Amino acid sequence: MNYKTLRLPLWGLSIIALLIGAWGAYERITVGHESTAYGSYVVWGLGVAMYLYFVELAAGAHLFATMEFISGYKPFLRLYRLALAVALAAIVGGLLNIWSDLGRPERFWEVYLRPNPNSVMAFMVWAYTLFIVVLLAQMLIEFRPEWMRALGKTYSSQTQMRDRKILRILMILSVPMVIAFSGGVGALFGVQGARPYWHVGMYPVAFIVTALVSGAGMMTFLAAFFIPDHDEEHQGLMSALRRLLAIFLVAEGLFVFADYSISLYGALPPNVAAIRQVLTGQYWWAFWIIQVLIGMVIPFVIAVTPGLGRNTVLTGLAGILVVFGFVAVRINVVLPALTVPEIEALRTAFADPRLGFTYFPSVGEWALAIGITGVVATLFLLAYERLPLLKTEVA
Amino acid sequence: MPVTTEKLVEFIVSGAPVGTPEDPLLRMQQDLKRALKKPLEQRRWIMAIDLRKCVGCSACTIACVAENKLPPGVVYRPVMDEEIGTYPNVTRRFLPRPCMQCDEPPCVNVCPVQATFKRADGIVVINYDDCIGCRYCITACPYNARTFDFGGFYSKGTPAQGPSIIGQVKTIAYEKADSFEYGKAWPRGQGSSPVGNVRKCTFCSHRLNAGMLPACTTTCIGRATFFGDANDAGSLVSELIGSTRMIRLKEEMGTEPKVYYLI
Repeated sequence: MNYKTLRLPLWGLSIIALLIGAWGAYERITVGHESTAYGSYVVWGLGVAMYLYFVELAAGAHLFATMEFISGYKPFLRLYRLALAVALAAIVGGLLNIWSDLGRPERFWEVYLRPNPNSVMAFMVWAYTLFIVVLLAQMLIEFRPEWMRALGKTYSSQTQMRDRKILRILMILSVPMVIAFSGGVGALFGVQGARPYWHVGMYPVAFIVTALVSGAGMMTFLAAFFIPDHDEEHQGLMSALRRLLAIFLVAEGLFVFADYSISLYGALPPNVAAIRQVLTGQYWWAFWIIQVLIGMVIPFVIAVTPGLGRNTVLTGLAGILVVFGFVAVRINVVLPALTVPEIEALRTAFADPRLGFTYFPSVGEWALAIGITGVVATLFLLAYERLPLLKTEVA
Repeated sequence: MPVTTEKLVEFIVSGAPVGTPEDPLLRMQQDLKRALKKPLEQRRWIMAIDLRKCVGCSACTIACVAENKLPPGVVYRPVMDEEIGTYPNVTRRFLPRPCMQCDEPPCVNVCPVQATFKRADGIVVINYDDCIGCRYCITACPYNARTFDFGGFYSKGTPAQGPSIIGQVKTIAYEKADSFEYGKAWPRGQGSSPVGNVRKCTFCSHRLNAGMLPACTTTCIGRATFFGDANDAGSLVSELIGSTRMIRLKEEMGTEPKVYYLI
């Protein structure tokens, strides 16, 4: 199975997602936040979860773009342009999710004009901006041979050497930057002393690990189905990706286990209530089936079982299962903390649908999230078909 | 003692015979007048709520909704109702929860655009013209004291025309009436701010500027809510918070709330 087989279903799904998203966007523009299911207590919903998801995917993909530089393992170069394209599409998706989630989206520029230096959120916006600038610079240099030739200019080996040096500098700059913004998202939640479920010192590190798992999942999927040459080097690449996927999944599992077990043992009531909601609450299946079984256990078994792992199709499927399952990871970060009242008696203090502590996304929210996912997929597919993503001349 | 017109008005307002202890509302009104003569930074507004006097009527909640024209999903001062004990030894406790106007407000630090801040007199406010509606401040508040304006109307989905005052035709005009928070008219119905903004109690700062006590304080039928300047040693609230009955919610959070409860 390769891209030729997947092309039609992938484009079909993307176009359906875009159509659904067009309705969701129309509804959000015309009805505003009235069409959402969250309220004044569960104040963040699917939009924020999807923002986290795509931002971490962008960070993870970008770290894989620099994997050859970090590890010195040449086969990773095959992923370089693919990873840059995923990072760009995903960061666009992440920012679209959070922008559409703002109550006054037309004022987003206020963060640039009057940022609060004490706010992690302001820091994050500046970090994303810097990331996008560096990412675009990397792409501009990486694709320079192609666009120079398209303009009828020659691309000399001297220019190539110079560009390679610039690209290496950008890579060096981008690694701590990506770690900062990926961990920064964790800090955005971790600094919240009012919410014990979020107030975890290791959250920034855990978020970096999640980014790496998401990135590894996506790169494994792309390497399996989007790189046509299944030669010896490709086998080596798949083997390395499998190992990395397994290692990152173990690290992710350890973080989740450490966080939940220590919190349960500590027995701080709001924290215990939030974790119980994840483990045994109404949406227990989102944790046990989507996050743990589909997103972690099955891919891990495929990655570490030699008989299964050598099968490229199965390994690719393991990658996409991680990509899918980790949506639940993000939902299980955002929602549980908000569904526990900060003062228990508030549950019944004022009868209003927006002042409750339960949440399930509205049709409009699903439509918008699906649509933005469609935008990300379409951007990547267009890049894959229109740009030479399967080689690298500069890096 | 001669009965002056002023004393007669006091009698009508307070219901207390002339010469009896002054009604708390009248005293707080005098306290307020004194405080307003001082510069803003020398005032320190606080609220004290006597839980033994609160009967859980929610008049303060409704007065607040009416005063600030609060839409669905937005409430500044819910009254929490808890049942305590096991039958037959049971009782109910009512606990109104306005914004605590924390001296160390966690909501202020997180705002990415400096749209929410603590004024010189200690009231935590939101600049509706700057708020981007990210709702980060709501998640940071340990008291769930901030809410989001979704732009809704209570009359949405009700019959267009009903008997008497029921029905959208009659009620929508009331719902679309301007809110005068922060001393400015905020028209409703055109999607403009505060729709899409975070909203919160400001101790009715627009009323204070006009020399009036907060709506919840004047409406309290049990005289359970007290308001005034803590920097004025002679004010009623200053006397009350010196009591051993005084507690504050979630002291352990280090937020230094300026709403005190007398238990």
